[in-house]
Amino acid sequence: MLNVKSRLEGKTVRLSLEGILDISTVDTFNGQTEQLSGISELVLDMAGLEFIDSTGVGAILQVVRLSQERGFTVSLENANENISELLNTVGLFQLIEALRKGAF
Amino acid sequence: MRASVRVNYMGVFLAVAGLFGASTIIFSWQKTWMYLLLYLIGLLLTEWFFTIGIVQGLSLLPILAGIMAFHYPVGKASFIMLAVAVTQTILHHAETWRHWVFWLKWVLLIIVIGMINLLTGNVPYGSLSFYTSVIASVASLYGTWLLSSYMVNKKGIEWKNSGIYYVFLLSLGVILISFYRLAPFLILACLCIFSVSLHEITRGLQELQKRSDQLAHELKNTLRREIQLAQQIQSKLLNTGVPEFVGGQVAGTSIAACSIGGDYYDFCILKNGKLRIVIGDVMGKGIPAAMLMLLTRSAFRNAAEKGRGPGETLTIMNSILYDDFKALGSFVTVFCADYDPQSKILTYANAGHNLPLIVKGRTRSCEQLPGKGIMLGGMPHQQYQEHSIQLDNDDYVFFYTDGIVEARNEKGEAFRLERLRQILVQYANSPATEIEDQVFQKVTDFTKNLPQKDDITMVVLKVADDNKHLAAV
Repeated sequence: MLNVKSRLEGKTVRLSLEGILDISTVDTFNGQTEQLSGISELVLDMAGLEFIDSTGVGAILQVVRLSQERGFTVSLENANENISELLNTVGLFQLIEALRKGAF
Repeated sequence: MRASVRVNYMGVFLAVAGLFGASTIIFSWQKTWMYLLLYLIGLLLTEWFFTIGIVQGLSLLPILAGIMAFHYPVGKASFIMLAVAVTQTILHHAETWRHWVFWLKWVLLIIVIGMINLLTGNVPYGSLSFYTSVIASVASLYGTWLLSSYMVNKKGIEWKNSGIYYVFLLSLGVILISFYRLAPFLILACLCIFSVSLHEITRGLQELQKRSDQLAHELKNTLRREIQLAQQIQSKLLNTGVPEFVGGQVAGTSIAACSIGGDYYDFCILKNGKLRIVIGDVMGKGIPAAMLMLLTRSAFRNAAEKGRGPGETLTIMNSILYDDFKALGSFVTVFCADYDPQSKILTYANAGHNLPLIVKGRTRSCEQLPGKGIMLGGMPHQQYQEHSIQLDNDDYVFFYTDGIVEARNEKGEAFRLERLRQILVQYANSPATEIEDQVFQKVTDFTKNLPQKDDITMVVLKVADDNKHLAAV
């Protein structure tokens, strides 16, 4: 099960994720992220996220791609040790960093 | 064919017996219970030898007895109706009981019977109010039947299959008995119409259930067949012959979680004599992942010929796959390595895959190879950094996908890297295939009876100078 809390702070949207982001819950996640536009930053707060699988990573990747099209940046915050390790291995942090530096 | 002829004779016999029973009820209440009992036994025997359909048709007979009893006090009539309810309940498919329509019609029947009993019991035969109330009852019963037909199969009454001929046959018999009173016949007609509706409904429900079961069964079979075929295709493509090379062994194995999956490994002997190994994991699992795995395989086979090193191979693969993966919202992690048997140098590059482990034969240490990268399909025009490592005799490299370390047991614990390292060190001197078997065995033992959650894939590259081994898969 996945709980997504959305908060707008100026031009920044803060999505707090709670629970599990996997193949059964990505639709919930996508529902929140698909219509994001007209913002300057999206912050994904993963403090409450217990587990993420490859489909979940794919969903975050989609958000990153979306952010490129719609002109906002994405930051991932407060991921726990296991999730951090996974995101590090697949190169998601690296990818976001590279995009931030303007490398397209 | 013979059975149905027997059924017809039996049916006629029971009908006659039923009529006999019905008339006995009219003339002698004391013997009622005996006839009902015999009748019930007869029905059950019929069901034993023949089809339930004929028995349900004949269970109308107690209804007739009940109708006759309307000229008798409500107590007796209720007893008859109870007998009817019991036979109907026994003879109907268990599934029918659970459907609320079955019970609704019984409630309606009891209400209408009660009404008719009250109306006709105190009203003198042949009077206007008598016939009015009878006609009203007929109309309401017919209406109930029509309604119940629509509720079940959304159509009108199918007169042909409704068993109406049973009703006429029996009605005819009852007329003969009650010739001196036509009014009971009218009541009989009402109730037989209603009773036929019971069968209409239950038959409709049974047919609906049967049809939906059939459809579900066909669908399941079609799906199973398709998955089997897809699995065969993937199995044939994935089980590439392992190339022969001097100076070591290489083995690969892949066990999908749902019989078909997104894990991938492949080999390629390059023109310069090096062995190119690739291992990959498409996002997700099952058929969607398998389809993208085949895309990845084609991309590798294409890139492996052109790419001078593993880094360039990954760059070419990414350029081939990027647009497709982006459109599909997917990605694949790939690890590619070139092994030179002459120099024993392993050159490699990584696109987001979990890093392989290297077990040193001399020190029996087990370390992760360094070097991370961005997954394929992540960014266009991605360059991949190459790393090199010198291998010695009796060293081996263990490439794998995360299905191993992510495998969970009943307590929800993950297998984790530490257990894997222990096994790899323990079997450091075993041949490549043995190492793979042991790893798989330990993972299976760990997860016990739980189904495999993710695809498990491993490739072992063992350096063995003195022997020319035929690599085995």
